[in-house]
Amino acid sequence: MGELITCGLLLFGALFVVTAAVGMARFPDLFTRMHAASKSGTLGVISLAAALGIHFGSADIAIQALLISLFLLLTAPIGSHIAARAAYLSGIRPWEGSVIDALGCRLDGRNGHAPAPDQETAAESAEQEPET
Amino acid sequence: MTTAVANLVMILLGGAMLLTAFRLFRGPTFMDRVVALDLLGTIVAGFIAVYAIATNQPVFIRDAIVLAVVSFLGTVAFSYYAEKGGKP
Repeated sequence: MGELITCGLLLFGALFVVTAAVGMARFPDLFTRMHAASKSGTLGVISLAAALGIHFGSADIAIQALLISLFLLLTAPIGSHIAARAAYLSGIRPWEGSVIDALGCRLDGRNGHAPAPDQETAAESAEQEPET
Repeated sequence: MTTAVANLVMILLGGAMLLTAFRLFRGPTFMDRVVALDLLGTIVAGFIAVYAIATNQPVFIRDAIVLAVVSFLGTVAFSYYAEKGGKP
């Protein structure tokens, strides 16, 4: 019985991790790729850790598997939030097919952040920089 | 049966690592590479867990814990310097 649960959790986790990797390779945009990586990959690896804890069946290893899950659950949202914010502030914009740009609506003209740079204005400022 | 399934899952995780490494080498911007490296660290932590099941050797589980933490620290550090400035 425990063997069956272990095999099921292993296959479930592998399915989610492979889905995350395919999304990482195929999605058109940094933010959609981050969506695939942070949600699906975390669930897959947590499932693999649960299989580990059930397979060995001792409290020592179960606590270590629980620690892996806990660290992933703590760090995945924080890490993807920080990475998405840094990417947006360093000038990466969402894909043209995106429906809404909530952070851009909040940041434009506030807190000293410039509005989203167009291609033309960026090229102009790049031309003007050597003169000044 | 568990060993056979664990070996199959290790092959699948190897394919997932290859797809992520493709994005790590190809990624058009710096932040793409950072996110791909984060996912690669997470997948390797899962791979260590499956390896422990396949070989009945629970020694390497602490490596998975350390890898999860260090991967997060790397993401935070790269994002900090990407936000501070420099070329993305």
